[in-house]
Amino acid sequence: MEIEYKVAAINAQALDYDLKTALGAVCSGFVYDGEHLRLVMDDKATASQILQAGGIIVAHDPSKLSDAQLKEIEQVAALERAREQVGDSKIDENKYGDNNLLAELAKHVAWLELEVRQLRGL
Amino acid sequence: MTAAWPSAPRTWSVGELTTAALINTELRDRMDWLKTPPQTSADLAAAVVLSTTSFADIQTNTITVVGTTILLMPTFFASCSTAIGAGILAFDMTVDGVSIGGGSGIGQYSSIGSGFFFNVSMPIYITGLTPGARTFKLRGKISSGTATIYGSSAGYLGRMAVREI
Repeated sequence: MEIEYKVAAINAQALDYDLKTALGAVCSGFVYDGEHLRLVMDDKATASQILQAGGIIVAHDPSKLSDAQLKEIEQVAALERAREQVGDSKIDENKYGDNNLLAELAKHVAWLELEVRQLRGL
Repeated sequence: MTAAWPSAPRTWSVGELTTAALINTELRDRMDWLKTPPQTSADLAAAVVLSTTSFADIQTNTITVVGTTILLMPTFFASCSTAIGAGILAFDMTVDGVSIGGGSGIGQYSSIGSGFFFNVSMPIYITGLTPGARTFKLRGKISSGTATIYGSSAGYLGRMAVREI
């Protein structure tokens, strides 16, 4: 079944997480067009589950980020820090020539670094 | 537009007079119908975000057909919020509430990573319709995460066209 709500704005990932975490498989998710939100619930959903879903939608704060979104922001920041630390320097595989195993590893890391730089257009 | 495809093509017998009425039916009406058969198209105005794991409506279109065969031509831009391969976005169409593609739909797109766009285009040929007003719905679902179907309000073209053939 679908139940329609009028909602001004949503944080789709956060609202989806909150609904599915609270209601489990009985809530399939939603469709949102910027004004109307159609909640998709299993036909077996009880009245209290529908009420619970409605409460989550009404209480939803679009400015509040989900755990997954916070984690994503942290990952992007960590990657940016790592990029700044490395800068334009490239691995010099010749430095590892004394140890054959390490030299082999350095050769592969150097290759991967070149591949990544090419993919990122650097 | 000629309201309906004229009945079976006429076969002239030797020496039979070709009247204005006959030629109008055989040429004018058939050409007219071929150029402008029943057809409609509707653009998706606002972007639609979906997180549902079971098919739900995205867009509705209605056409009155005189024959039994149509071509459905939905096309639009979409993106997924999930990492590469983490979510499968699926689309289906219904005719008067009856699914065309079943549980798997008529088109599936594996996420290519958050923030990347891809073009969804799924023309499909449908036969066996009953003449009259028929309602078509584009439906969507995603296996995990969320997906956005972009509308003209965001500067993209999302269109569902239907044409009797």
